[in-house]
Amino acid sequence: MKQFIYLCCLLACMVSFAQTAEQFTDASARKQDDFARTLPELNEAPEFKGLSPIQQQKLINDLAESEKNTDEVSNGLAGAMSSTPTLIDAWKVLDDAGVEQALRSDPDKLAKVNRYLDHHPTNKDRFVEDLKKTSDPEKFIDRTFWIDALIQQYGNDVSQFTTQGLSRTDVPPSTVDDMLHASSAPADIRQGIVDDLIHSGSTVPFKVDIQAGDALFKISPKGNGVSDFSPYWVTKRELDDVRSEENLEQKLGLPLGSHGVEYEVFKITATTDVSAFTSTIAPTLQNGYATIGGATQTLVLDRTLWSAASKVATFIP
Amino acid sequence: MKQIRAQLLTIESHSIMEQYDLLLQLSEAIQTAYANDTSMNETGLVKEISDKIHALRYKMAYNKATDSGLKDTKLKQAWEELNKLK
Repeated sequence: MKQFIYLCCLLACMVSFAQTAEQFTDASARKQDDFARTLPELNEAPEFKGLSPIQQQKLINDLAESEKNTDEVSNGLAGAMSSTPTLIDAWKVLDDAGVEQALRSDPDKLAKVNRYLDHHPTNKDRFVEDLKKTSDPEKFIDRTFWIDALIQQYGNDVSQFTTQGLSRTDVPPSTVDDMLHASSAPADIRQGIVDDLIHSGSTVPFKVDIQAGDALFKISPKGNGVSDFSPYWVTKRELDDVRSEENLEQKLGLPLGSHGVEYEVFKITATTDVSAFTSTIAPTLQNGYATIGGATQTLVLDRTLWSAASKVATFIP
Repeated sequence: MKQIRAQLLTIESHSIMEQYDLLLQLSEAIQTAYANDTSMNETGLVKEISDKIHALRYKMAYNKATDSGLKDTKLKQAWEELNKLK
């Protein structure tokens, strides 16, 4: 008897499920018909036909949702896709990355993704993977577009990058001597690299004593790491200051190649009492692209007296 | 080896990024030469390339536009491989 009741229940569930599935299929088919009737140009677009049936249905739903929120002034998702069908490809990328509906239905974001992928078609898979991992997909899209636009406009020729700081003649000889003495660089290039350091600042380098255990920090584009000899660091306080500002690239005088969609923070710790030098970061120029500088840098001339750099945080400005 | 020596002589006339590419190529070339000829003894030349790589790591790190962990890692690997040949 128990088995009979169980079988009856199971049968009832199956019938109910089949009815629901049928209703769902009917609803989907209706939506698809409506879509084909009201937006024939999209329905026939190769980009739409290239989507899987599931993604086609999902896009139709997104278009319907977007329609509810579209006023007469804004063009809306359907209008944007009708005039630029390649936005469907961008929508697919965002859907593949699993971003939420509001974001993947935003014509502005789709246009940004579309433009970026137009410039870097081979970056599509990496873009999707990075987008999946980011803590802020909206900022990720905006910043990817922003950096790409800068590179398109100014290029990324490192030989064009110049710091607009002081020259050796602006600095007291005793300070230059202190810097040369503190440097661990090979003797034959020491003069030149100390000149580079002086030129990276708009104020005279000021010698500071650092105690064993004190830490310094560096911001680097995600995945770039930090070189073993990099002398450019900031204190924790300076790091917190620049992180709280929207234009950290400007304040740090970063070259275009060091503009990151996301950044990693690296930390080094003095292994002994040591001297370093501080100066205000000078403005920079790179093929017409200017930064204002202004943050305070701490120049480390002998990294052998510091721990290896370790990653302590990742953030998106 | 003659070709490598000739390229080393003029390397400073190249831009910093060209020096980076060239030194990686020269490092690769001499490692291949050592692998193909086990009796090879070019310690002086190996040291010269190794020293140039060491100096370039500094130069790149002190130039904000070329200060890159990724590039430094490649130079460091080449430098370490050359040191094994010394």
